[in-house]
Order: sequence, then C-alpha cells, then structure tokens
Amino acid sequence: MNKRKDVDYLIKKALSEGENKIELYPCLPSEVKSRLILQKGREKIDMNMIKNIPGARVRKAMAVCCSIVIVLMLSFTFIEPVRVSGKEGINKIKSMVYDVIKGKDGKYVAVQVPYSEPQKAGNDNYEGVKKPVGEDLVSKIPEKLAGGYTLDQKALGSYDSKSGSMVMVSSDKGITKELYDKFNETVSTFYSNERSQIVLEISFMDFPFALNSSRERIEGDNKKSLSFGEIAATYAEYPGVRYPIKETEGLGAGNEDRTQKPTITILHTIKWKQNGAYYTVYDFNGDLSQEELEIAAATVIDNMK
Amino acid sequence: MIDPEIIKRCQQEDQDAYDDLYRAAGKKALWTVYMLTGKMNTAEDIVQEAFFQCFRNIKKLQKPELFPVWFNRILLRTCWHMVYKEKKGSAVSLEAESLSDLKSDENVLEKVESDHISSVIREAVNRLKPSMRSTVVLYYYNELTIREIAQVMGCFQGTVKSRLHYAKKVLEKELKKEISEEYIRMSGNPGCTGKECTANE
Repeated sequence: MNKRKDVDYLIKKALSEGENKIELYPCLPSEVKSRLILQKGREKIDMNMIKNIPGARVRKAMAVCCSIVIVLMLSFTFIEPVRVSGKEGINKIKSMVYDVIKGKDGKYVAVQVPYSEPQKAGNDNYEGVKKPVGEDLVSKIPEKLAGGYTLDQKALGSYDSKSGSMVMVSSDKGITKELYDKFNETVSTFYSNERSQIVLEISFMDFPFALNSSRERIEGDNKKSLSFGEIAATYAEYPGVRYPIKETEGLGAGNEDRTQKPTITILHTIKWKQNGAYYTVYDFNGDLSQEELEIAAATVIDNMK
Repeated sequence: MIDPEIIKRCQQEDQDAYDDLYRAAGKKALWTVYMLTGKMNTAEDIVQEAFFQCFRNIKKLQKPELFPVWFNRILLRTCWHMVYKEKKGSAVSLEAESLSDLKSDENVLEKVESDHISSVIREAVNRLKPSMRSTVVLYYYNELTIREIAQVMGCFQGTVKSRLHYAKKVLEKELKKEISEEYIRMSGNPGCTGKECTANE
C-alpha cells in the first residue's frame, strides 16, 4: 500500500515539476477579449443584415405559403402512386424465395428468385399412378437393414396438386388409422445406426428426387445402372436441400421456410421399381457410399418380394 | 480551486474577471496542454483557443463549482482537435520534441531534467497512448476525481479506472527498471495524490 502511495507521489511530483517555472503569455486575455468583441460584432452585423434585407419579412411569408402549396400539390399528385409502388416493392421483396440451381462449375447453389404461385393444373410432375400405398406393402417394410440400421420412424405423405409438392406427416404413435386415411400416397421409413441414417421411400408415383428445387428439374449426377437379381435400379446423386422449418399448428406442422437460405448436401440415392411401386433409398446426411446403400437396398428388395 | 465569484463575474461579462480567471487557471491549463502535446507554442495556441471558447460560452455554465470539469473538457477537446489538425492525430513526444521547441526556457528544462526519477516517469508518460496520458495528467496533475475525469473525457468511470491502473503498472515497471525498490520506499512521501486513490486498490 505504501509503495503504491509512493509511486503516486513520484508521478505527481514528476508531472508538477516545471509548472511554476513557465510564464503565462500576458497578452492572451486581451487577445481573447479582442476576438470576443470581433465575434460579437460579426454576429450582430449578420443579424442586422438579415433583418435589413428589404422585404425580408414579406418574402418569408411568401416562402411559407409557397411551401405549403407545393407540399399539398405533391400530396395529391404523388402520394397515391408512391404508396402503391412502395407496396408493390415491399411485396416483391417479401416474396423472394431461395431455390437451388446447378452452377456452371457443376456445384449446386442457393439463389433468390421471385416466388411464383403454384400452377393450379397441369403440374403433375410425376410418372406412375396416384394411389395409396397399400397396407400389404407397409406391413412388409423391414424393421432392420443390413449394416446395423434399425427402424426409427415412419412418415406418411400425400401429393398436394395445388402446390405440386408432397405433404409429409409423422406421429410419435406411428402410423395411425387417422393419419393413414388422410395421407397414404407415400410411406417414408427412417433407419439409423450409430453413425448414419437411411431413408426408404415407397410410392406408386415416381417423382423427380430433388423436389425442393422448383426452378429446374434436377436430373441427378453420376448416374449408374445397377441390378439386384431381376430388378434394375439406378444410382444417382442429388442435392439435398433443407430449408429452416417454420413452425405451424396442426397436421404436417412445420413448413419449410423458403425465404431463408437452405443448406445443401449431396445425397446418394438408389431407385428401383418393384411390383408396380417405386422405391428409393438414400442417405439422409449424404455420408454413405454407393456400396453401403446397395447393401441396404438389397435388404429392402428381399423383404418386399 | 477557482473562486465561484470570478465565474459569476465572467458570466456578467466583467472584463477584469476574464483577467482574474486567466491568472487563476491559465498556468495549470498551459502546463496540462504542454504535457499532452510536448510543444509550448502549440500549447499556447490551444490555451488561447480554449479560453476563447470558455469566455464565449461561460454563460452556459450553470454551476460555477463545476468549472474545473467544464473547462478541462473544453481544453482537452481543443487540444485533441488542434493536435489532430496539426499532426493528423499523432501525439508528439513530450520531451523528445519539446526540448528543441523550448529554447527560450532552457533553464526551466534543465531543472526539470535534473531529477532523474521524474525524468524517467515523464518519459514513460510520454510513451503512453494519448487517452491514457490525458487520464494520468488529469488525475495526478489536475487532481480531478475519477468521476470528473470520466465527465471530462466523455467515458465511463470504469474506463478511467482501467486506464489509470494500466498506466500506473507501466510507470511502476519503468521505475523498477531504473531504480531499486528500496529507493522508491525511501524517497517517497507517504501522502496520496488526490481525492480518490482507488484506481488499483
């Protein structure tokens, strides 16, 4: 403590030394006073000049009147169109959504595009038939897949022709009758092991895989033909586009928020047709090799015979 | 401490009061600015400008007892503004450059330099950042409280405390380099500098 006080004292002493030896500039107050007088005089002159401008008061009144007239004219002439165009601009900004396209370098990128209303008719962008996945098929879905994958959850879906997209729902209770009655055109089954997840989708409708990209139909990359006995299959890679989820109430709660930038991962898929239904297996996180998927697909094919 | 009566008279545009105020506060102001800029010529210009602003606006000062804070605020801002204009913001070393500028005051400086410890401290203060240097000068030389320094510099009291704490550490380090701890203990007067010695306690 004493040491600190000593240091304080030394600093104070060091900074104070010399103060008494400097001389104040004696003429400074008179110079400052002169500047003050000049300044005051200048301010007075400026004010007098403003006051003495001939007709200044009349001009001031005229300027006020003219300003009011101009403001009123502008109000009547421009405000309505400006309001309308402003509203249009805001709506345009609000309706920008993200879509995924393939760049020139072959990589998939998210771009902002104007939102367009789904077409009401003629947008059935699928092959096959729109019919329920029967309970006979659902009952055959394997509980386990080769590679240590076990069934986690099933989800049901129906094609919404208004929006041209699939509405998916799932429940903690599994596939209930209530859900199945409303949503039965696709069945998605989620399998997982310690490190990864595989999804199996069954439907009588054959959709292009990358449904989340509405700007262009994505054909898939690195396509290869595979065969599992008599069944021909196709291996392909697609962008997995995941938008942030906007929570809503009711069945199918949680819509994708396309106004937010999505994450894109490359998913590996194997698709085949078996007994009239279309089957797709893919790695949910895009982290499996073609061989691993083939093993999983073979398990499904065996079970669904 | 400036007599509040002088301030009141200045507010009534009493010309003699201007002289009284200059005599009472001028020297401290000049030495403060000199310690911050290191140039006596520049310091004189800054003090003149600060007093001009002071006399011009003194009617706005509602409480005469707050004059030291109010005036130092004007002084520091004028100082920063003029040094910035002159040197594009770079602060000038207190003794390195000032010695050559102060040929007319050689006797004074010789006396100042004669004290080795003080010289070491002043050199260390010169090397501090401008904001830290201003804080140290206001605290140790002008004897303003931490709260008053915060008002002068327009920052939080915590900022002032940390600046003081850091500056003191630097100065202690410099002192340790030059002299033994025993010397510090023996040479020191146990008195504290100011109203608040709490910066690093």
